[in-house]
Amino acid sequence: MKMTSLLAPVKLDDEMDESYGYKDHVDDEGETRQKKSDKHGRLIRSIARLDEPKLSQKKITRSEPGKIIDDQALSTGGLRPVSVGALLRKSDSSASDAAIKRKIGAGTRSKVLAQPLRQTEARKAQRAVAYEEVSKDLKKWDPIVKSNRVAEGMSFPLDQTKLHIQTTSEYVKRYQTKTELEQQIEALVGASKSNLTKTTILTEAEKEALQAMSVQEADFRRQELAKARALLSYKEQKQKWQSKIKSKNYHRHLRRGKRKEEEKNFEELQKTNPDAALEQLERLDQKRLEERHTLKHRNMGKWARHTASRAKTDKNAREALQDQLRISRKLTEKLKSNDTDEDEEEDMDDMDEVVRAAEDTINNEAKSNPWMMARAEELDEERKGDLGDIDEAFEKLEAEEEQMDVRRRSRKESCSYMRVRAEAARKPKKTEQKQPKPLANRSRPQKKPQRHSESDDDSDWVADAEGETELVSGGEMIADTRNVTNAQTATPKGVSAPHQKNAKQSVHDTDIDPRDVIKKVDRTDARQVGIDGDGQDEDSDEEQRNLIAEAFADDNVVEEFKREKEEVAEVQKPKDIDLSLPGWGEWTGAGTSKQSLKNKRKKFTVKAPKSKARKDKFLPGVIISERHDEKIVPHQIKELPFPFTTVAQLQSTIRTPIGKTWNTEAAFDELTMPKYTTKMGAIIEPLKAKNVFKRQKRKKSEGFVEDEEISALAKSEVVQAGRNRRGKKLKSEILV
Amino acid sequence: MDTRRTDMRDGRPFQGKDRRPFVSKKPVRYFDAPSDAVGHTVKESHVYTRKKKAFDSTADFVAFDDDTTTTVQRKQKHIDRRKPQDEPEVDLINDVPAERNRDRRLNDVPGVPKEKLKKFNRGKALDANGLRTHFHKKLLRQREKKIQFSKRQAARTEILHAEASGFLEVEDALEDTARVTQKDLAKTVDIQSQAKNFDLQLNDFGPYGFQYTRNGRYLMLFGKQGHVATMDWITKKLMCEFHVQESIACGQWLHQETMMALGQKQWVNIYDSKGVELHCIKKLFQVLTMDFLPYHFLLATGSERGYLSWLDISVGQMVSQFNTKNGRLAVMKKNPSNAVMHLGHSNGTVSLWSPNVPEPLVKFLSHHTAVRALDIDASGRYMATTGNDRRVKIWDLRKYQTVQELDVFQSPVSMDFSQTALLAIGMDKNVQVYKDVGLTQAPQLYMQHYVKNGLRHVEFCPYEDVLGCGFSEGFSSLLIPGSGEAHFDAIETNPFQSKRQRQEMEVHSLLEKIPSELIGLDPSQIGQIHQPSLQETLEQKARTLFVNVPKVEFTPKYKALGGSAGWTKRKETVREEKKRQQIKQAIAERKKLIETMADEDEEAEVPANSDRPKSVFDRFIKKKINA
Repeated sequence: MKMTSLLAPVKLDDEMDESYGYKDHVDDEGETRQKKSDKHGRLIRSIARLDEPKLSQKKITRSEPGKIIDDQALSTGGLRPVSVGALLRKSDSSASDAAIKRKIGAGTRSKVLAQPLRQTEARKAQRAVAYEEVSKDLKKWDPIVKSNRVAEGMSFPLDQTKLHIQTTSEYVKRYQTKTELEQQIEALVGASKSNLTKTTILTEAEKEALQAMSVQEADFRRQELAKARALLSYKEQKQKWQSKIKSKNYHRHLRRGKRKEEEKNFEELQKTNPDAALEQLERLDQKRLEERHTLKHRNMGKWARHTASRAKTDKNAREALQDQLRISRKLTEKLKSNDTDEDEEEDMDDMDEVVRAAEDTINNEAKSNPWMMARAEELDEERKGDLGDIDEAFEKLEAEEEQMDVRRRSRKESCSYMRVRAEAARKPKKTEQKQPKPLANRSRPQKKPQRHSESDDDSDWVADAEGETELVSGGEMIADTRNVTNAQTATPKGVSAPHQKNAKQSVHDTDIDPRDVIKKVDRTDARQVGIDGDGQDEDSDEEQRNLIAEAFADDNVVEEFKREKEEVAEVQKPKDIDLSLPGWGEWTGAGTSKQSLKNKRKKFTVKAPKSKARKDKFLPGVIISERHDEKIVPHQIKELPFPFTTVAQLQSTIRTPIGKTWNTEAAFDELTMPKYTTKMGAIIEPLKAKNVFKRQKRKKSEGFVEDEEISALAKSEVVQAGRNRRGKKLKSEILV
Repeated sequence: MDTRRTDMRDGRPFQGKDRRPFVSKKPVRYFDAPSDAVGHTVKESHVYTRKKKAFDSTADFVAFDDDTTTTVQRKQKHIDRRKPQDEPEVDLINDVPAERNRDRRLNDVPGVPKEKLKKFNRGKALDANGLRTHFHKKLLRQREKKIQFSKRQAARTEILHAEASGFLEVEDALEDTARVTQKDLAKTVDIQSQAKNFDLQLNDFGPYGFQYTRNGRYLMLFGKQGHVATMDWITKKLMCEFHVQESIACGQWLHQETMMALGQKQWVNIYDSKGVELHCIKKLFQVLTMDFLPYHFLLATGSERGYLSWLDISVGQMVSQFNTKNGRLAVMKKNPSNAVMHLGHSNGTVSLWSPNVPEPLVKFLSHHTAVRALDIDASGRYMATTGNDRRVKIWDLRKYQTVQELDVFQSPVSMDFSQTALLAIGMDKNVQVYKDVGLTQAPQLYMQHYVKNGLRHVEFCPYEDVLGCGFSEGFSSLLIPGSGEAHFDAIETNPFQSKRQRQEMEVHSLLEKIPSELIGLDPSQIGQIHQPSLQETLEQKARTLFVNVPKVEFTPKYKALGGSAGWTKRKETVREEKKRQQIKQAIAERKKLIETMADEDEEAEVPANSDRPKSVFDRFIKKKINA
């Protein structure tokens, strides 16, 4: 048999039939019988063949039933090819056949291969396959690498033995009951209701005991509780309601009652313990003194303020005020009258304070400046017309107060010290009177009616003293018209002519130049200077101050500063650049228009960019340089570094100092924690798949593993190292 | 292992206690793995931080003004009031709340009150939206958590600051701290403190100026007429004493007690602790006042001729020297928070200078007469100025406005803020110390003292409750309770440092020297992006993106099919392709750029018409629509 016959479909005549026929009677009943007869026949034939001459032996012929018969090509025929397997199957499994079978089998293995690829291409293909394989293999490391990159801190070597502090409960768990008796006992003890657990305050038994009240008992208790609560709320309500009572009558009665009781107590005390009584008396006296000295209770009472404001129109109120005044005078005169009505005194004080506050500002203002003396008097007269007889009372009171002041000052104290105190005491008053605060403190200039007196320091007090200017939401001013007219009509006598002129002029112009506000600042200052300008020291002080003011009157600092500010603003303002060349594109002679010149200039002028508003626009007394600090620029960042897309992001990352100066030790450690730490002397080996994928393998053997699971596990494994530190840190936090 | 069970909620197998349920095809999110970050376990729902409007790095670590807190407190009170008055009693039987409390006590870190947290507010937190990669987002979020942790820690450690600076207090209203004399005080205090109250009679060479070192340990005295002495004033051990045979206008300790500078009649001389002259600096002529910037190693001087100069004493170079054009410079102090020099001028103005800008950074009119003295408090927020008009003004340096004004009966010659913001005002014979300076209430006279006459200088001793006064006939050291900072940072300044520590500190401070270029009104400017150059680069980018696409040089190697015609055709197509790509890229980049610019604009945008009151017609103004 030739080898080519295997490749080309060769028809072997005699065997063909048999091979086809074979399949047909595979399942026949008389298969074995036929096989036997076949065997026998074959044997006979082979014996017969032995005798035949060699030539007579049947030759193998090729019969090719193809349509095109070609000499060169072998026809495929219309038939199916014969497989060697089929042939082998056909043959018997005798010992002699085995060798042939082996031979043929070898033949099948040694197929003729296609022409091998070129070396380069073969390598290329190999590489491609290898790449795929390896990348698939490496991909499983991805999650591990990524988690390592974002881990907050890693300490190498990674597989460090973890130390764990055993808690008592864990330790106890190691001991288990073994014998039956023990188990029984444990079951009994565990079932007990009086076991105290860690999480609850009460044991079961206690809870039950608490709950186990009889119905009546519980009801009784509930009622009791309800009653108590109700009583409490009544009491609360009553107190609330009592505290809100405005009736003067009621309070008077209350106070009277209290006083009587006190007196009674005092009398009793006098009888029983005269020393203690004396002491109490002294204490009372001391208290009174204190009050008088410190003026602790001389706040503006609600009533007093109210009445004072009504006094202008209401006759009754005026009378009430007068009454109060009378009482006050009495009080201030008689120092020892211990049994005067305290509350009345208080009220009086309140009222007194209101009046005094207004008076003080006026009088002191006048006294502080010798130029204003005359005017102050004049004004006093004017006011008399307004307030009538009440004013007289005020004046008397004031005189008395002055006496008091002198007395007070006669003590050896530094005058300035007193002044500061007095000023401090008066501070709240000022604000309540809506007196304008120093204007320099305002971020924006506001319209003020007082501004008409910008230039003269003397005429503005009118509006101020009354304190009736109010700022309305729209920024407009509502001023008491009477005051304004006052200001307009009352031109001071003592003031020189230019001053008056200024005043008049300023009344008329109504819009405000924010730059001019500086002057107002010192005006308010000037008022503050003379807040309580009585006493000799004070007077001399004021004189001195005025002297200084006069001495420096010539060098107009304010004006100078204003000019400087304007200059600076002008210099720092970006300017247009005129690039037009003279003569270029110009015609001369008659008939040329100037318009064309203008046009040319316009055309060649580079307009300055619109400048931002100056930082000191609303700060009249301040020049803030707009000049940029060039030297810092090289130190600053010019472009946003990589991960950031906004400036705010970058700045928020550098907003916290990390140094020890600003942080606690623990925070410092945390903020400056190195990304990787290594253990001294330990060998850092590369990650071992064995360790990392340990669990994964186990899972695989269990038969359900998914990718996510692997990655998660691997991650947790690796991140563990980083977590060790966390535990430590948390502890430190607790400690601190 | 039979621990497997099916979680019925999602029907997926669930294994064990600690293992996560499988998620069949969820995208892998490596960066969202729950980390045991800082304070993860701490439950602090009641603690929150209010966002500040603008971050002020200088003010960040100091308590806020009371305005904000009071509003919060007020609100709190309001809420409290609204509570039902008859609250049910705590039921003992119902032990749930008790249980919870107990748990918290056992396991949790105690929370920090939010008022305390506010004090350590670190500014606006990071907005991670828009950060470039997930990876960086994750990292920066971790960082943010650490910052929060540091803040909490700082607030928590406040409790360790047990020592407080105590002031004198009155028992009843009749008493007054200002009437307590040094004699009275010395009687009541301990022996150590008594020793700190002393007088030095130096009749011949006065009036005396003096200075304490930065750690408050050493004292330098210099008489107008040339006498100089330095000593450890606590042990009263004299270090050196000599006479310069010239008049002395001013003196200044340099970085340590080993060196000092004296402004003499003509030049500035530098001496060591033994009184040996080390340098004579002829560039500094007729110096009237000096101040030293310890972190920059700069000696700032103001001269008779109006020159303001900064000398780097570590390298001996003049950093800058300006003519202020404002005449004699006798009043000068540094702002401790930003190292800007404050000068007081004879025309009543105060000007602020940095060595980097040859003109005043800020200038304001503080008095109508010459400024006599000024000082800035330790926080750098308040400045006190005084002039011949005998008025003391307290300025808020953040707004350049006065916050308080005070009248004194003589024109002050010297002023000094203590570390606890007491203000000492020295007049001819009298020294007054005021409390509550810069606060909402009026400053109060805290203590006062009289010296013989001719007072020249007052200065608080750092870290001690001591005020020094130098006058015509010597020096006296007064006890002012509460004036010194109770906590000193030994790494920063150590009153008890040894020689070795001093040497160590010298090296460290030299290594940490801050370059003079960083001096400016805003000390945080170093960390800021230079907006104009950023803008410029962005604009340039935007411009370049529209520049014609550069020519692509491409010549195919082979002519191949189509001969030379095909060759040119291929050349053309490649060029076109490249061009298209570039344009596409440009468009994409431009888009991104515009987005980022818009973001920045949003931040920087200040409504232009904000100063104008609202009008009814505002509704007709076209509104800006953000793209």
